[in-house]
Amino acid sequence: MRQFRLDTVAVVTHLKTSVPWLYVSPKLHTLLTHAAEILQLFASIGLYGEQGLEAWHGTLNHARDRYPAPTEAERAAGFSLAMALARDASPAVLRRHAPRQEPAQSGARCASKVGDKRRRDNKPVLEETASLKDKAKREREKWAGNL
Amino acid sequence: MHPLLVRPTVRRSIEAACGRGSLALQLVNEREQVARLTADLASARARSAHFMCAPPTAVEVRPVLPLAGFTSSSDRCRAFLSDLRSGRVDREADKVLLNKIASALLLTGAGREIRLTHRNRVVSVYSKQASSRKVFVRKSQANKRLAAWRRERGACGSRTASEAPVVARDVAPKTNQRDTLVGRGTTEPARLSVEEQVGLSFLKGVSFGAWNMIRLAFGRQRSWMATLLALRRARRVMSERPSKKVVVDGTGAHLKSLSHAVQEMVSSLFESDNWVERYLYAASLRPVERIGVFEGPTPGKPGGSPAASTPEVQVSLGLDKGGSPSLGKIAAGILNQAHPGNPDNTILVAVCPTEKDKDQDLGAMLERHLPELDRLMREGVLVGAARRAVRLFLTGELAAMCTVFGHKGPNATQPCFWCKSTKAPSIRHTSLDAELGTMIGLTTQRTLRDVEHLDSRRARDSNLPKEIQLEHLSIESRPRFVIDPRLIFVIPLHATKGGTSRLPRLAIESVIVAHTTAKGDVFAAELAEKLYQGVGVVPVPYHGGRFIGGECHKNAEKSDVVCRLLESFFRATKLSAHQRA
Repeated sequence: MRQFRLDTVAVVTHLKTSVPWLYVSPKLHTLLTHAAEILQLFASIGLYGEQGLEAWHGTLNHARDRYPAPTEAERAAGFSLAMALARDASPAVLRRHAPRQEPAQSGARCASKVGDKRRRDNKPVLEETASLKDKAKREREKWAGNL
Repeated sequence: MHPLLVRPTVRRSIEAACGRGSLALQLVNEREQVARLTADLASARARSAHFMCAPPTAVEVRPVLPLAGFTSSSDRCRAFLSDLRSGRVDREADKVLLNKIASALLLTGAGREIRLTHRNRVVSVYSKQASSRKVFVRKSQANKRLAAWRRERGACGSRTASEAPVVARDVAPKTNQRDTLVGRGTTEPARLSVEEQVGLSFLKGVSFGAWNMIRLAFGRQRSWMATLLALRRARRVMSERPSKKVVVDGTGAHLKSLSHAVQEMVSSLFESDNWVERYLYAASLRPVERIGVFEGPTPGKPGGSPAASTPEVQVSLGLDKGGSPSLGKIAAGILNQAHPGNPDNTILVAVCPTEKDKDQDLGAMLERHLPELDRLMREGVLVGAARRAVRLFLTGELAAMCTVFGHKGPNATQPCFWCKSTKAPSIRHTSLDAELGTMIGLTTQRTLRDVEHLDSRRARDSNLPKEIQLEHLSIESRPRFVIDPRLIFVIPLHATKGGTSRLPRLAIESVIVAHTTAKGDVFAAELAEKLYQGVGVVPVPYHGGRFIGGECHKNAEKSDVVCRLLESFFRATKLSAHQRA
C-alpha cells in the first residue's frame, strides 16, 4: 500500500520534471491521486473496473445477427432477453453440477521444460502476408503523421 | 411410501415359545413367504415399469398369471413351479423376485421376519420395518444407492420417458450436494434442469432445433436433455419473470426489474457457494468487522453507502456506449464473486441505440431504472435468510457519468468526481486554488466532495440565477441520481489504455521540444517502426492513436525499447530523466 503511494508520487514527479507541459486529465488525476485511497478502502482497483461492461460491446457485435428485427431497439430487446435467459446457466449455476477437483499445486501446469511447445519461443512463427505488412506499414506511417 | 425411500431396519421383539413349536412356526413362515412372493410376482410383472419408481396408485392392476384364483398357499406354489418349469415365467424380467424367492428358500430366516431361539427357549422375532431414508449420505452409501438404482432400472424393464427423471431426481441431487457428505458428479453426468438447459442454449447461441438434434443423437431421453416442447414451455414461463422480462420503449430495450434480477443473481451465487465476502478496510489495512444489522437508509439521505460495519452486498452499475453500430449499454454486476468482470457474471440492464453517439442518451436510459435502484438501496437484498444493505458503485464512461450527475464535463473547472481540485491554476480562480488545491499539485492535500452537495443540487430549482463556481463546484444541472462520490470509479481500464497511448506521444513531444518538428517526425516514424519490430504492436491511426487489446501490456513489458530509442536524441543528463519518466 505504502509502495503504491510512493510509486504514484514517483511517476508524477518524473513526469512533471521531464515533461512540464503534461496535461493532467481527470482520469490520470484519479489514477495518480485517488487510486491509492480506493486501494486502501476496498483492497482492489481492478475488481471495480468496467471490463465486464466493455465486453458486452463485443458480445453484441458478434451475436446481433442471431436476433433479426426491423429496428435496432427490437434487435436489442431480443439480445437482452436471450442474455437474461442465459443467466440461468451462469458459471455460478453450472458450477453446482461440475465435478469438484482439487486445485493443482501452484506452478504444476506451467511449462517448465525448455522444449515445451507452450512456450512462446517454441511456437511456430507465422509469416505475415505481404498485404498485412503493407497495411501495418500504412497504419504506422499514418499514426506517425497524425501525431 | 416410495420404495426407494424405504430403508429396511430390523426390530427385535421377544415372544416366549417352546423349542419345537418355534421350528414348526419357522417352516410355516417360510412357506407363507414363498407363497406371498409368488403372488407378488404376478402383480409385479403387470406393473413392472412402475414397480420401483412410480408412487403406488389406488387402482390395483390385475396379475397376468392366473395365480390369484388359488386360495391356499400350497396350490399357489405348485402352480408357480409348473409355470417356471414350462418356461412361462420371464426369467430376465423377474430376476429380482426370483432371487428373493430363492433367498427365502435357501436362507432360513432371511425373510421379512427373523426368528432367533435363545438357550432359555425365548424366541426373538426380528421384523423389517420401513423408515425414512437419510437424505444426505456419505460417498460409499451414495455409490451403493446408485448401484442399486441401476440394478433396479434394469430389472424394471422398459421405462417410459416420464419415469426416468423421477429416479434421477430421487438419486442424483442427493449425491450432488456440495457439502462434506458427497461424491459430487463423480458417478453420474450432470443433470441440468430444463431452465438451466434453456439458459445454456442461449448462453452458447445454440438454437432449439440444433439442441433437439443433439438430443436425438445422444439417445433422446437417455441423454437427459429436455425435449423441444419442454424447452419452449420453459422459455415462455421464464420470459415472463420480472427478473428476465424485457420491455421496449422510446429509448431502447430495458430489463423490467433490476432489483429482481440482482436478487436472483445474489441467490444463485449464495446457493452455489460462489459467494465471496467483500469487506471495507480501515486505515490499519484490516477489514472492518461486520457486526451491524440491516437498516434502511436514513430518511431524506441518499442510500447506497451503508456503514462499514453493516453486512452488505456490493453492486456495480456501469454505463457505456460502444460497439458497431454504437449502442448504449447499462450493465449491473455483483462484486461478491470471484470474477465479477466476466460478462457472464453480469446483468445486462439496458441496450439502447444512441442517436448521434450522444452521452445524454445514456442519462435518459438510466432514468427508467432509477426507481428500481432506489428500491434496491432502500430494501436491500436477501442473502440466504438475512437481508443485507446494498453498496452501489458507479462505473463506466466519464462523459456518461457527467450527464448522470449533472456535472459540466471533463473540461470543467473542477472535473474530478472525488475532489474539488481545479483543473489548472489560474488568476481567475486563485481563491479556489488556494482553498481546494489544483489537479496539477498532485502531492497536496485534497478537498473531497461530499454526498450532501450532490443531494442539495438535486433539490435545486433550475430557474435560480447563475451561481458562482464555489457554490456549484462544476455541477451545474440537476443530478439524476445521487450516491457517495467515493463510490464513483472511472479509472482502471480506460486509464490504462489512455496511459499507454499517452507515453509514446510524450516521448515524441519531448523530442520536438528539444529539437525541431522535423526531428520529431523522424522520431515518430522510427518509434512506430521500433514498436512494430521490437514490441510487436501497431498503434492504430484512429481513436487518438490507441493500442488494441492486450498491446497495452506488451508495451509496458518492453518499455525499454522506447528508452533505447531516446538515446540518440538526448544528452545523458536529460536522457536519464526521460527514461525514469
